[in-house]
Amino acid sequence: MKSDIDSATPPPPQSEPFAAAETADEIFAMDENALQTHLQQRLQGAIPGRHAGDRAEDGSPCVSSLESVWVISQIGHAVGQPKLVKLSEVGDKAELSSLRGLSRLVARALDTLRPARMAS
Amino acid sequence: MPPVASLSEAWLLALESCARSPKARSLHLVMTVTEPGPEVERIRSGVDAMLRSAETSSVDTVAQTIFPWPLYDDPGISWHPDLPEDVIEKIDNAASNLYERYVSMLPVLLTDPANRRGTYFSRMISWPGKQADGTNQLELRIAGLRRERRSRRFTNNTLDIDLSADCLDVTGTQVYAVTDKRSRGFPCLVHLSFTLFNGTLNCTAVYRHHLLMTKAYGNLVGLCHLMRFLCQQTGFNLGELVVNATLADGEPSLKPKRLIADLREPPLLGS
Repeated sequence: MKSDIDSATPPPPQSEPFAAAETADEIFAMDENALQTHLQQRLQGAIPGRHAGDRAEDGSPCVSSLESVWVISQIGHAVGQPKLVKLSEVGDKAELSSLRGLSRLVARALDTLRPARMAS
Repeated sequence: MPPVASLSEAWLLALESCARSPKARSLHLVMTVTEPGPEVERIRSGVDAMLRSAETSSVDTVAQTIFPWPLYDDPGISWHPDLPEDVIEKIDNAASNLYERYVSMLPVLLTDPANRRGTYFSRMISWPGKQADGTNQLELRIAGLRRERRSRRFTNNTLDIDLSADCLDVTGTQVYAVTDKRSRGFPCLVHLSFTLFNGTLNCTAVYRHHLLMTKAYGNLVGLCHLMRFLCQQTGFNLGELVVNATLADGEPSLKPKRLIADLREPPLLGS
């Protein structure tokens, strides 16, 4: 019998929600590796029910589709683009399943915003 | 279907029954889960493998459209009217944070065509489900259940959540559409009825078209999580889950009989 859903040890409740300190400028300045680290910190800090440890095919940590959408929305809000990534336009859905794939997806989305950002 | 303890068993019995029917379709297929939550690992693994093979949404992805548990700060304690205020605040904040996190995700969630009419959870917490500041049916039901608890009323059946209705019969009614002429598509889960019975919180979910291979297992998982959340937020004991599929679809193209045969070797259930 698979463990009852309540028997999985929940992480300790957070007394304060995770507050990412990075500004939009700092996010745009990150390279892909730094972005991946940042996304991982956001996930660990803000999604208390997250089970880390499983690895995706590319060797980076697995992320669930819910977590991917969460991260995309948080980065999007931080840079002023709530729909930073349109899920209907994600060609390779596997990118939503690994941290590295998610980082690449977010990095590409940020790249499309750079020209307008530099022009303003 | 006879009541069974686990959602896994309930699902397998339902699939087996439907797969025997002409064109693998059944009318009014009712599953009853007496212990919402625990699963049978072997059945769960088999379903996960089938969904991966079919290249469709996983069990957890489907389930989290009904209740996104990774976003929920489980406070580790159930509500009770006599709890200290700071503890009640912690329980309340866990729910509020969940709603806020999910609503903040809506702009991105809705860019998936499958979510263009909202998700089940967004319809529960921000009706009609496509933007923030909608009616939070879940919050209203929790408040109602707590009132029942404070008044020491342990049997009640006036606690419904609508997921497809054209309007809501609650204060601050929001009218989504005067008529709904859609004959296909979302939402398949149309109604949740919560019944308090001798201090247990029970749920009946009505699906108008239930896809047993690709959606039903995940839906059961999500509904169990939702029930546990409501019980924690209101202090009632967990009752049973009933799922009525007015049209159950065994999705024959996905070879349900083969999956059933695989899962029943060795036999998991008494014949």
